[in-house]
Amino acid sequence: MNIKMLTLGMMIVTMFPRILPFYVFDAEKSPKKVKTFLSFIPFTVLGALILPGGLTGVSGNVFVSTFCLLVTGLVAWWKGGIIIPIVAAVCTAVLMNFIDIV
Amino acid sequence: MPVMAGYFPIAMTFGILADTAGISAVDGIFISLFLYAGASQFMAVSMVASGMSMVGIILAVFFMNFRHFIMSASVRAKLKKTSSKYFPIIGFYLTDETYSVISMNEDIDDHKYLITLELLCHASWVGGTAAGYMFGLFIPSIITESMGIALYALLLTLLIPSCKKSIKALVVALASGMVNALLLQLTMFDPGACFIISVLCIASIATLLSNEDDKSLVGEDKEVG
Repeated sequence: MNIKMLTLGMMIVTMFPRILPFYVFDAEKSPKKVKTFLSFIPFTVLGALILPGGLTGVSGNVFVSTFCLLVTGLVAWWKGGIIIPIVAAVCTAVLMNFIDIV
Repeated sequence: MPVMAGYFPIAMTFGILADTAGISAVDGIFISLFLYAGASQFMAVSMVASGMSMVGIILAVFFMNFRHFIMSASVRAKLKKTSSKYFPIIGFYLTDETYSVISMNEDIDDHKYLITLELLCHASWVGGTAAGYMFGLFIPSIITESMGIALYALLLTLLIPSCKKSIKALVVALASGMVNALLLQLTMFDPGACFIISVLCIASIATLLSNEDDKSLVGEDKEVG
């Protein structure tokens, strides 16, 4: 299969929903209800991106993945920042995988 | 910067997977350069490997990425000063992760900030893909397997600060995630459709309940779960 042709096809169908809304919506004129609705979108998007995919993030292992997410959540809650919680998550995963092998 | 750090390992994983699926390095980098979409790139690779037709793959990617429609609309609502001539660039580079960073940031109505952020992320994505092709063979599988959590950890760290400010954010996100998990369990719909349904339903319910007190929102979560 021609991967370049395939990529261009996929690019076009991806660009359409990414760019079109910028021209269809007008922030100034939209009613208050719509604004409230849109203000919730980031949280529902994040929720649906994390669950359930995150539960199998570490090569399909639900126990390890869930534990890593809990560690991430706790570190992010207490320490804040972004890089430290991510490093904590990956280190936890490596450690747990290592223990599993041994 | 943080998103770049989260992106790089995932892009490397993509490079490694694409390599094992028999996609040449040039083609793999071409995909990261022009498609630039995390999940659907992985999906595309597995579909190429399983021998699906080109039209089938493109259609699947279309359904998968239709969710960006909601994200773009939500970013658009925050841009008041930004000139419309920048919209195609801002939109093209809007991925799940850049969207997550942008939407968690109050002060985004500045095209220079947005485009710089997006270009840096894209560079990290393409660089990571190339690195995956180059170094994939040398990295022990225990590390590459563990890298899989990085993306979800990134998304979670973006969510936590809002949760600390208001329990609403946590409840809404949790409800949406649970509905998504439930819909995916049912396997009645395509994963892209499950995502859209969860995001829109929970945001609608939250909007309807937002005139009342916070407690009713928590009650809704229990009902959904």
